[in-house]
Amino acid sequence: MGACYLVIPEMTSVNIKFYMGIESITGSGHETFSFQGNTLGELVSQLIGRYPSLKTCFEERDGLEPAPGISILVNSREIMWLEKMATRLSGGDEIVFLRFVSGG
Amino acid sequence: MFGRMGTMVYIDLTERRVKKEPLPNYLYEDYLGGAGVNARLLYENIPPEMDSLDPSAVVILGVGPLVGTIVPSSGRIEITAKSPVTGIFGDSNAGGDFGPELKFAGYDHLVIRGKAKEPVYLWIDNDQIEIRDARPLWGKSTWEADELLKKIHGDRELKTALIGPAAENGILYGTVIINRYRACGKTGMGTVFASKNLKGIAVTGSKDVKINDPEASEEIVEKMMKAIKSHPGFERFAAYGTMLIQHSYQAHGKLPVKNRQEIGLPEDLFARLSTQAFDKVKVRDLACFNCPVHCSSWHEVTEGRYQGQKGEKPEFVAVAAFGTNLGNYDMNSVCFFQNLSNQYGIDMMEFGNTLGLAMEAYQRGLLKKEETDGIALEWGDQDAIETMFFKTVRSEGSGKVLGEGVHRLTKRLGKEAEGFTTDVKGYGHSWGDCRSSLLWGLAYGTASRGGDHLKSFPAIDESGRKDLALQLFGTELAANPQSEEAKGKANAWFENYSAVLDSLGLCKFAFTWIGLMAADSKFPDLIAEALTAATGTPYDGKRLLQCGERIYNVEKAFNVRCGLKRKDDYLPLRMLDTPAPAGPRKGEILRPIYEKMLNEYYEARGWDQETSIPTSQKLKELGLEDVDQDLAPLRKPGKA
Repeated sequence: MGACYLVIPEMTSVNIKFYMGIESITGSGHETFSFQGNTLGELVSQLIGRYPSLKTCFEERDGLEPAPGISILVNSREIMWLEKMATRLSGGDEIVFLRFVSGG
Repeated sequence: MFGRMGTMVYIDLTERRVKKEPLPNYLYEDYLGGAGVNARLLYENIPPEMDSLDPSAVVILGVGPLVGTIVPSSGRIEITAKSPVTGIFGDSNAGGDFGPELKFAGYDHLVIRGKAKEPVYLWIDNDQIEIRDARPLWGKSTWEADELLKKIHGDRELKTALIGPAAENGILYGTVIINRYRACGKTGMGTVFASKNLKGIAVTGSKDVKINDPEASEEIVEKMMKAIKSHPGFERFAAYGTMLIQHSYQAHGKLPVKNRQEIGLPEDLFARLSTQAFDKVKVRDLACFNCPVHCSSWHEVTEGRYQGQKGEKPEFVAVAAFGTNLGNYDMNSVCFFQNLSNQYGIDMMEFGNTLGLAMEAYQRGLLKKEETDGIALEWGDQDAIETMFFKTVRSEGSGKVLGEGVHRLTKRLGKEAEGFTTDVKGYGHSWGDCRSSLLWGLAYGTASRGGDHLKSFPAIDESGRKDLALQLFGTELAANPQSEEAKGKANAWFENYSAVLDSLGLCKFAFTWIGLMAADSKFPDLIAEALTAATGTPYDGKRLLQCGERIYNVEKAFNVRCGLKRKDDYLPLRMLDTPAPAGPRKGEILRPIYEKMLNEYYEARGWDQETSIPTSQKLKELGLEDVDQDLAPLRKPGKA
């Protein structure tokens, strides 16, 4: 009988910022957050575990996705132009939760 | 006449003559009103060789056919003249309620020329227009003069458009301040007023704007309100207005710091300029004429060095101009400097760009203390900023140089300064670091009044509206700020759309930032329906946008006659050739991409790739045969 391994997902530590009213949900404008895994989806699931009201910024479609008007940037790039919630994260990445605003 | 009042007024300050004439059909049919009619009148009335401050030069005020109606956010006033800062096309637009009042008095446009012997102001009370003595007002701040005029005329509801001491003292980028807190800020329209000894205009009116089909208007307005209020960010827009932009810039890697040597701030410094910082001084919401967004608010500073400051909310422009760009991270001081700018009548953006340039020159040793009247131009030094502000608005010592703007200071500083100036067509460009935001960068480069974001206002970038980008420009990538795809086409479209809004008298904040970004590609048709209901003249979105295209081509033709070419549509060297120090395109150079976008833009515009001059075919398509004839000698042989 072979050995049985329990695979524990790696921990990733990222810098998170909450802007444009979202900080009122988390009570913090920015923080360093360590989570198990390495995708944005995993980060968001664990963030919601910590800040349940953050779920109002998301909706279930094909899995959890940002609600209309909510923008998530990974290193200043909108996730819609990356891999959306499957975007891979590395230690030290900056993730910003804000609302879509485009201005001059 | 429906929608419009049907009357334009020619005022000659030299001759002290006022003449009213009917608004010609060709003007309002093809140029809509406001900015469009102003642009055409400027083109017809200013030959290319005429100096902007020549007494014969005209300055034109205009309101659009939807101004003063039930259409939301319809309170804009447009002022147009040849710019004393750039020597090319100049115009500026403001909200508030002066525009509607001018219309209620019975007028669509004022065309002012000449120079009064002594300071004067125009007093407009419905049919009565008088040129009155402004000597008691001259030298007074716009707030003091506004107060005095209200006392003189015994009318607290009087609407005013006034210049401050800055323009009177010869600063080139003087503004016209609307009712104390709104600014026609760009391109030195206040300085043109001052050159005519014109302190400003006070107006009161009681006429109705006649609407062709009031019932249809009400239905359309309901649809517009629904679209505007359906934007998921509406409540935040209403609470903070343009102050949301500093957060977006900080997140997207665009926030200009220390004359754009750096991008973005550490969070502890950024927090001092955030909306939370503003919450500490915010008192209540305020709105322009008939605006459901009410993006402005009232502030009162109750502690610290700037205790006692009161006024309207600082716009993002002020946060960048007096804050991040000068290394000053203090919201209360931004409130103070915005209030001063409105009182003295100075364009905050051009001042912030010019002082930022001077501070970097000082940092590099290009400017010495001996050249700054002994002031150390250190980043973030509020005393130094305040001292230089007052020197500038009084045209004293080194302030006289700062009062000439970015372009002239760059020339004085020499070749090295070309590497860190913000000069586009003679004006400092708007605040976003466009190395990571390609469509806004192109918009700054091609703006007909130099270095500006509002001529195009291409809000599709960073809007997340892939679907709208696909509908309008054939590719979702037009909404991706880091993709070069379809940016030329998008910029041309937004320039046309913005020309329409400025001509109808509608606010871009409500109709682009919020309305269009919450709607679909049929939104221009809805605006056209509102115009049709108001005026009785049938428009659809396509015809409306063609009017916008015609207007933009006239502005371009004005500049071509002033000698502008393709080389003038480029961003400055720091944006094009210096790698971005941070942001999503960190380390990358913009120039090769910019060249491609500019080519695509000229193609979308129907302008010659080499010279940027509109082609004969394009001008004829727009019914601009006379403009085509004017430009023919300026084209290269063999080019049509």
